[in-house]
Amino acid sequence: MLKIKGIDSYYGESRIISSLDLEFEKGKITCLIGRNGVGKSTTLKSIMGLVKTPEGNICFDGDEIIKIPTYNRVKQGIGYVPQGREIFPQMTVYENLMLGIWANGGKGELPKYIYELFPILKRFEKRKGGDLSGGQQQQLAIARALVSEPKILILDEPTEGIQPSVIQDIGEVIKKINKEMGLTVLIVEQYLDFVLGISDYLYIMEKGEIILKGNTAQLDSKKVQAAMTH
Amino acid sequence: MAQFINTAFNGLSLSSIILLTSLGLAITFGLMRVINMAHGEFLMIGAYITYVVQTIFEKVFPDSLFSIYYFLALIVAFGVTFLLGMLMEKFIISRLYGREVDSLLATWGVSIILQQAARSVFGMQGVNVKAPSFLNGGMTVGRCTFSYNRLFIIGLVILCMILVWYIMYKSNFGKQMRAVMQNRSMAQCMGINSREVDTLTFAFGSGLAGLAGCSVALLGSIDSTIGQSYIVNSFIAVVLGGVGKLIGTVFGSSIIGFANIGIENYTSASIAKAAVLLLVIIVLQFRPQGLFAIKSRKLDE
Repeated sequence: MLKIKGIDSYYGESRIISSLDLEFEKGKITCLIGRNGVGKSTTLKSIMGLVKTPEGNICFDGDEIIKIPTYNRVKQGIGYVPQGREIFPQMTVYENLMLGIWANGGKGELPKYIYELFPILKRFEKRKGGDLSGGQQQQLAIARALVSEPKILILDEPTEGIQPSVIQDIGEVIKKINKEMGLTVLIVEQYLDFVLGISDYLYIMEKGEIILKGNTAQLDSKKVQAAMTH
Repeated sequence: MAQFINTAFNGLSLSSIILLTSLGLAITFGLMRVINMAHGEFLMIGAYITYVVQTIFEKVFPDSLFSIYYFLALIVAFGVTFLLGMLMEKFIISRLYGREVDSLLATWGVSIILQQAARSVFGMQGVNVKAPSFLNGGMTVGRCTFSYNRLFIIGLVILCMILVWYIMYKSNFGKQMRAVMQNRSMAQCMGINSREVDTLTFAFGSGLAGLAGCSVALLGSIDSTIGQSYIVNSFIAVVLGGVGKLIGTVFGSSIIGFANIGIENYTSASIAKAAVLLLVIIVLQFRPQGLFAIKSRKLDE
């Protein structure tokens, strides 16, 4: 589905990632975990084309995408929920959602299941995005990414700064869209319990490299814990 | 009473002129944060285009058709400055995003080139536009006279405001535009071609400057410095109103327009200018973001 081969990523002049290889399987929920500042978010930004990636290949659904601009990658079917959610604060919830339509060619209506997944958004349809709480913004960000009907959904720390009950809701929704719609999901996360409960496959990252990987069910959870805390 | 109404009308008229010249700036500077020093020259180009279209009409078409030249001039002025803005964004501004001082210098250079070009083509002497016949004279109510000329500009401003409001808040392009201006990289992640949006937004702001130029051509003689004489007030209006808010520009222009005329009534023109500047300084001391700052809840855990 999505295959990263030997990429280097730069923030300005400093190299964060060097020759990283990753692979994400179709229909699975894959998590990329690690402590602060090891390059997890940069990996996602490399996939989105938001950081400079002069070296390597990113292959999505059989196409090489490393040279094409961000907005065209989205059009090919990558949905992105960034860290901090990045809702457009001056736009209403509805307008935020409708922006997802552009990736689909700019026509059409809001799919019905969006409001079924997130009833709260229907209620707050006319509110400004900036007036929602953190958890509501997170749901809006996920819904907005789904509107463009992506083949893969990428989430950067979806539980960050969100209260536990909402985290649970979000986990349920992610599982649901994965099971029922067959959407491939890639999550970067630090909250280990959430990760262990949701993922099929795990990558553990340190200093821009993968130090441990495997099916979540088969990985030794002590080893995973150790890699996250030591 | 009559004098008061006259003063109020003059204030409204000046406000509308400032607003018209500020609308484009509210977009290129207010929304895009590009300081385009050549914005005033787009206004100048709009004014000269009015002159050129008028001259062609005088020579080619019969007198009976003369009056409609002005409507054609409006369209041509918008179109030409729109295209120029597009070229300028593509070849100069887009290469200098994030480098404010450099883009300030580069656009200043463009400004000087355009002014000199105007002098080379049209000469040092100012040229005059003959207003279309339906704008001659005025409407007299009681002892007050409202010139058609100024009423027309007020109408044009209202029309432009509706146009800008519609494009920004109702059209699909406007939604993309606001998304890009609020959060560029996230807009890209929504599949919006931000490069294209930048170019068109800048072109639209420039086109509005051309339209404004068309209307100031009715007010006096046109020379190569006409842009400079309007642009300062426009910048002040945008900053006073609050960068990034259209409604702020409306209020900013009105405050400057009415204060100018009001104070001028009791003192002199130069005292009025100084007093308005003082007023602006005082306001910005207390509200450095301008009168209508954007409020939002960004991270609220």
